[in-house]
Amino acid sequence: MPVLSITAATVTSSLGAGLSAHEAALLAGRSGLQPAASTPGYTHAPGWLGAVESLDAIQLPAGSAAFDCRNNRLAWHGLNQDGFADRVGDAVRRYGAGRVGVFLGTSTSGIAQTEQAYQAAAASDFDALPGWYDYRHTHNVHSVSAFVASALGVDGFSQTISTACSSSAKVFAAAARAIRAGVCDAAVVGGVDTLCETTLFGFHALQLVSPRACRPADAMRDGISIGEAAGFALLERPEIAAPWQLLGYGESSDAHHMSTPDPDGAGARLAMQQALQQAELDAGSVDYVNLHGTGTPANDRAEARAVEALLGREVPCSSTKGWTGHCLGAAGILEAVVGLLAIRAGYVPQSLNTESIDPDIGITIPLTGQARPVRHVLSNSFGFGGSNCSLLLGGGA
Amino acid sequence: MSALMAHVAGVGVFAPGWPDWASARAGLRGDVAIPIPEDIDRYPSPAGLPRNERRRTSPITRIAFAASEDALANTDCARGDLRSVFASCSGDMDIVDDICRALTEQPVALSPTQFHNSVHNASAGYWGIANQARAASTSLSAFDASFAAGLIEASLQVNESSGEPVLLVCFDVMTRPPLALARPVPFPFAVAMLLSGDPLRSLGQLRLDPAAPLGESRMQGALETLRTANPAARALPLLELVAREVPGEVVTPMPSGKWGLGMSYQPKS
Repeated sequence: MPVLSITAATVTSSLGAGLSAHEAALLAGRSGLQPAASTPGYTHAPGWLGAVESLDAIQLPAGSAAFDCRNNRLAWHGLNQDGFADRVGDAVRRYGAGRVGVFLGTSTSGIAQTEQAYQAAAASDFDALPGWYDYRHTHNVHSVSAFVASALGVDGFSQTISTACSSSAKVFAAAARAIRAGVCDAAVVGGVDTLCETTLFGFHALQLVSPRACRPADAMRDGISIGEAAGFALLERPEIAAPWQLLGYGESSDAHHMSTPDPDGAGARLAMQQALQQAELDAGSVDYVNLHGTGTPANDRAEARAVEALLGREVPCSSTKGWTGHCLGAAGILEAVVGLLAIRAGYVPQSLNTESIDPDIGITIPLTGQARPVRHVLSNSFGFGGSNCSLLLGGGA
Repeated sequence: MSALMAHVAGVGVFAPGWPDWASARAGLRGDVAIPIPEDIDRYPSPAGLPRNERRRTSPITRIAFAASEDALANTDCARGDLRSVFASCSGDMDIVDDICRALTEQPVALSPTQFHNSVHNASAGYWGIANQARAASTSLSAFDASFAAGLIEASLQVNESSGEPVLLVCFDVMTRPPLALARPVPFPFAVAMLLSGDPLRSLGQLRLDPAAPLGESRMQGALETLRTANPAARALPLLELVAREVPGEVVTPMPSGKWGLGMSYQPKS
């Protein structure tokens, strides 16, 4: 029995707005990354970026002015793709507004507003913050869920998960618990994270930003490229007919280091193992692994070890961060939706930008896309603080 | 509509004048005066971390650890297998202030340690390292309803794991200027609860109704000032029932602000 039905999904990133734009880019091998130096608004940032175009022009719906910031604009832009907001409207009519929950992940939410407020306050030695600054509705971690719930007219249980780069994978587990216990009948899950100086310069300070487009699993890989994305899925009870299903999830902690993964990948392996167990599938049933694959030497090596120990060397594995960059708190939902597209299209995307696979990485990393049936996808998301989440996704029954 | 059940196996507190649950309990029972809330002179050193990591922890992690250690003090649960829910409205506002100030300088130079400590799950990460806990851990926010959301999530995890213990810790630090102008939180507060399905190791049973009518249980005098000044202190009406060992029902708003979270408490007889 699947855990939940995935009755609708959408995603917006540097590859474009909506599912078709992503499917087309994946099939064509077209990356959304470009040098920061040629990304309007971010020319002073290091590395390459996966930016979403024209967010400055997005207007939030009436009554939402207090929420206005880049992160909530991207959320609204994303909700309006693939008819997603209408599908949620159907669920609200079916179950009632109080029975639909909202579980979103974000790492930095609207912190860019605070960064800008401090820029404005620097001249007065930070005596005051500008009058337009609204902490609660923009910067606070929960702002994105409060905005999405308000924009969709949804009143059920909501929480915002912020476990760095596993945030918007873990929302599937939280929503599954709430639906199973009868706290909600349906749940809007997803994640939104946008470019901000804290992450652009923070990862740079940790010497984790590649000077070029990231190359996951490459022998010469030298760090991440940062991107932004908004993605959403509508989850309902498993008996509801749907194009996709959540078959299992696993959550674990590394208990190793704040910003470096356990070199043996023990925590990562535990999360993948739990997902398989819950789905009652054996290792041979996984047709594609969407790796966390950030493109840092440490992550890709540890993750490959964990995958090999659990699934062996044959299953095709790729990170899609060469397409979108690392979208941090939105990486989980973005890559879960890539997994859904792989199932829908019958297609395993390659490890884009990867030229020469690291000989220390023993798993199968395709360097060209492959048309083949994909029934089960394992999607990995790992974050700072050693937070791991794996999702097992399948097609509709 | 379903009610969620969990047993309270332990409680921990860290707040100004209340270094532990024993002192908070005495205050909530009316045995001693409620402390005047102010900042804390010295934040306790987090137990179990290697010296280098310990040195890197900021006040928010220290208060989360203090309350958690207190909640687990008289329990025998295996920490390595203990799931945890870390609920905080705002996370580390001191680091937000430091980073946003540093971003106004040219050239920009952020501290790598501060950056990795800036994630909302930093305290949870340190907790996992200190306790060799590879079990699932989540870190969440629901603004002023973060305690309500954390309590529901922790109870859902008890429910999911057929009664295995789950540590809930809800905590927020005081804010300093200029952020305090936009988001005033005048003192730190942390509360931890060990929840489980085991009636044998229980102070009392908790029953949650996440679809109760919207409402907010208020308190008297200094306790009401405490309750409203820090999001984590929204736990106080429930803690008062636990401290007084009396049955009762209290309510706090759900994250939506449209419903209440009904919390019924039945002390172990």
